[in-house]
Amino acid sequence: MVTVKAALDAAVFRMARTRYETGAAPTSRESALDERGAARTDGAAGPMRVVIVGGGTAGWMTAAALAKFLGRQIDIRLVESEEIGIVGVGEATLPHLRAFIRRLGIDEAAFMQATGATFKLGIDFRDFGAIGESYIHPFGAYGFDMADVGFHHYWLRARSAGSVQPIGAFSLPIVAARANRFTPPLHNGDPIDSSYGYAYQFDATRLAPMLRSFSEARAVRRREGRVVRAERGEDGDIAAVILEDGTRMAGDLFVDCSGFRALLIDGALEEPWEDWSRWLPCDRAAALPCAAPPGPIEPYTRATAMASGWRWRIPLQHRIGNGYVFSSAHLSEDEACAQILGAVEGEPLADPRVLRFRAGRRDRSWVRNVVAIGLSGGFLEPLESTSIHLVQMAITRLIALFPDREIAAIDRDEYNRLVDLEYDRVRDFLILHYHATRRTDSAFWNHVRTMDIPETLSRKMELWHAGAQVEAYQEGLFLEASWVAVYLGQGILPSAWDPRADNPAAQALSGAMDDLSRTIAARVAAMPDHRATLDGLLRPQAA
Amino acid sequence: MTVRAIHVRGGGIPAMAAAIAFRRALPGAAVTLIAAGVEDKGDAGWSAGGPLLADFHAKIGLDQARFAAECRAMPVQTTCLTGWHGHDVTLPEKAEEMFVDGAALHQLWLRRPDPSRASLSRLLADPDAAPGWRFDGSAYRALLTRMASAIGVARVGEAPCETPWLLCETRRGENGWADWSDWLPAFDNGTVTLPGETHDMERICWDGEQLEATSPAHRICFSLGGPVPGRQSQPWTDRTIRLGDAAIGLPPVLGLPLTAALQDILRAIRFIPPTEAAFPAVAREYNRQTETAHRALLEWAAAPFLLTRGAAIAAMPPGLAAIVRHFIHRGRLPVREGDPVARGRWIALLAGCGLTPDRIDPTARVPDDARADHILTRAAARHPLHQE
Repeated sequence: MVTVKAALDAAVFRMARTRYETGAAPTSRESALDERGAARTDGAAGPMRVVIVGGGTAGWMTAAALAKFLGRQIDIRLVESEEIGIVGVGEATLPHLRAFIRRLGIDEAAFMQATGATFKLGIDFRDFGAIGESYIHPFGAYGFDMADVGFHHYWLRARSAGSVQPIGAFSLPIVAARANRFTPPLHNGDPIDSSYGYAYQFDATRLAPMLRSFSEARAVRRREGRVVRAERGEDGDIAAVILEDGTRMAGDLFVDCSGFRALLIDGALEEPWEDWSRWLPCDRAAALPCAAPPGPIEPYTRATAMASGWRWRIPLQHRIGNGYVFSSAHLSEDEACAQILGAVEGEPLADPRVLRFRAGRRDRSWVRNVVAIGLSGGFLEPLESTSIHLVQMAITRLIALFPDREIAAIDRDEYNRLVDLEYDRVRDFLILHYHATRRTDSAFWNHVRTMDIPETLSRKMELWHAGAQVEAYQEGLFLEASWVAVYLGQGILPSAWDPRADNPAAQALSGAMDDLSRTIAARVAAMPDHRATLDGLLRPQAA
Repeated sequence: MTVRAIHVRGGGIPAMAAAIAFRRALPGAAVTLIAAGVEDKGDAGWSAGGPLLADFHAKIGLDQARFAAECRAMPVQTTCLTGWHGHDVTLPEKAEEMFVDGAALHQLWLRRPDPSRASLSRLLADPDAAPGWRFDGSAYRALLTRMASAIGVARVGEAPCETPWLLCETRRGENGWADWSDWLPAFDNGTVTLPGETHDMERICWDGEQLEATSPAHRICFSLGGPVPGRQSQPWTDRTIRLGDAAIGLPPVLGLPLTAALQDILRAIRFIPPTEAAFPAVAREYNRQTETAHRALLEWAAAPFLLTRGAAIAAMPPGLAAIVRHFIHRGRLPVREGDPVARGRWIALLAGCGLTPDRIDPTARVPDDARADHILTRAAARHPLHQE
């Protein structure tokens, strides 16, 4: 309920703008109040009514976050059908998810217990640059900057002298991952102990039920049912969604979390899809869980390049998630299923399930009073575990720009600008993984190696080639350390490095680098095994 | 090493600072200062720099205590724009946009107006931030000159015959200048009129004709007239990087000109091309980053001149217009990449200039009144907010 005081405050704010923008005499308080009252689409007072269509990972993440951070300011209803399964994208995640879980107030151990989660220090990319090569893209930087110069410049100089270890030896998360060891970073100011982050590998099908309980405890109302159509108001906005049983669910703001079906953003509003398949040709995934083999649990996700795409391997507590992401133009679904069945290391726990998708995003994710979050808004293959992050990013932006009664174009435009920026930058980063290859063994790799790439990526690669520089930006998921990891990991060596890296004497530089790698190795040797850390964290929960 | 010679043309503080910084960054390269035909600007015996000054000194190895002693430098934590068309605006040297319980602190402040409460600029100010500095510009230039000589920067009257790897030009040219006269007044070099006052803030008065800055160090009066404000649209072309006045023309407030020059010098050092082939790519990225930063600084500089006189949004530079629209709409700033001005300073400026949002974020309405008051009280008392 809006208080009288809040309404008066709003009226005063309105008057201030009138004076400022037009120079006109202040509007009377009464008329300003009338103006605001009339702006409500249905003339009714009360909290803004939010209807979330779809209850998968994106739907329940949205419900949970809106309920937590907007509380009684809004009325949230979620409609989902048990007949429609959850795609369950993103078993592997990025470190940002930890902040999401923490800000919801969910205990990490409880979350990990409920979702069968393991820890993750990065992604092990195999055979991408060339068959037989591998590198880990870590959640952390290599070494540390010295005299304002990035560590990789010094490494490149040392490499040219032929006297340096692989750059992975200077990254604690990489060394720890290779040793199957894990402990959370210590925020003690030590440049090595605090040099990394971590994420989770978890059963995505268990996240939605967990967040459903969380949301329902915070007044989110769930409605079982299948949405069959949307009802448009006179102004063109969505006024309500109609369920199969005839129920009408009216709302002021609709969040389309209906996955690839995109019931509202596409079905009702017909917002175009910007197709990126010319750069990211993989359009299918054959997913297959298998039993976890005995032995250590790898604290990292594996991405192994295949002849027509790549396959993932995600170790959870209770099973291994596998999948082959491939281009249907280069491989049939049956062949892909056969190949993933032949590749898994444990006993298959189900038949392979084929998912179909298309890389790209909506021209606009927020149109009228519909916000598309998750697969309805955009899709980028899970090569860098970005699916859940993109959902989280969209939710964060929506909360920041959440409308106060009226939906304003200025908020929509800003939301769309920021969401587009994030998608576009992740897109470039993913394309790099394909394009930066020396593979010539298949039609698929020949295609991605020689294809035209976006100008934005081309510019970044030119800058890297010129002097090992990474284009700087603040907004975006993958910053300098990530770009350096993929460039170097896939054998894209620059022609030169920052000339300031030539300043230290060769012997002093070599000594410092040896010290660093030895220190990292010693710290990792003192770390517990990943499984032991998991057991220590989860045992009290089980008890 | 490929980089063997760097020339810096000019005789002012930016030229000295650039020569020293390049010499420190590349001790193996010959750095030459070319003073031929360069008129002494005089620096009016007074100069100003932001918090970056101390960082810059640390990078070039200049002891801050020595700087303070030799240049009669006085720290400034706050600048007060006094009597700008009836507005008094307090700007801390550093201020952050802060969030508690998912709500922006300034939005809670806007939601619960209370004259007895700490001002918004005080609430957002970072009390531990490094200060800005007001100092004797002539003494500073002399100090930098001695330092340059001591570390091996050569000084010549005419350009040497050989082509340098890089030429840093601090003299403004005519070509490629993006004129901001529609949004910013131009000022002369200023005249020192009286000794300054002893306090830790700077007061700047503007009556539409004259700009008077009173700091702990000096009082100086600037009149209209002087170089056209604006920016060089391509600060790096071929082998030449334009720095200081050659790259951007800012009003002499808040230490902006020197801050911009130092930022550009440090950026230029990050982008020293390691090879001949690298020039086009690094120059393009340097120009991209510099354009973003310069636009933001010019918008920041123009904002008080435009806002305090109630200029129409349509009459503002586009970036500033977007900021104002967003702030008026709901008390938020748009996301701005590469803006060297901290978001908290923008908020303090906009609110101080009398802009009041139409509404606040719904997240700022979530805490009840008691909780909102509690958060604001603790924030004002500098209680660590992350413990909330």
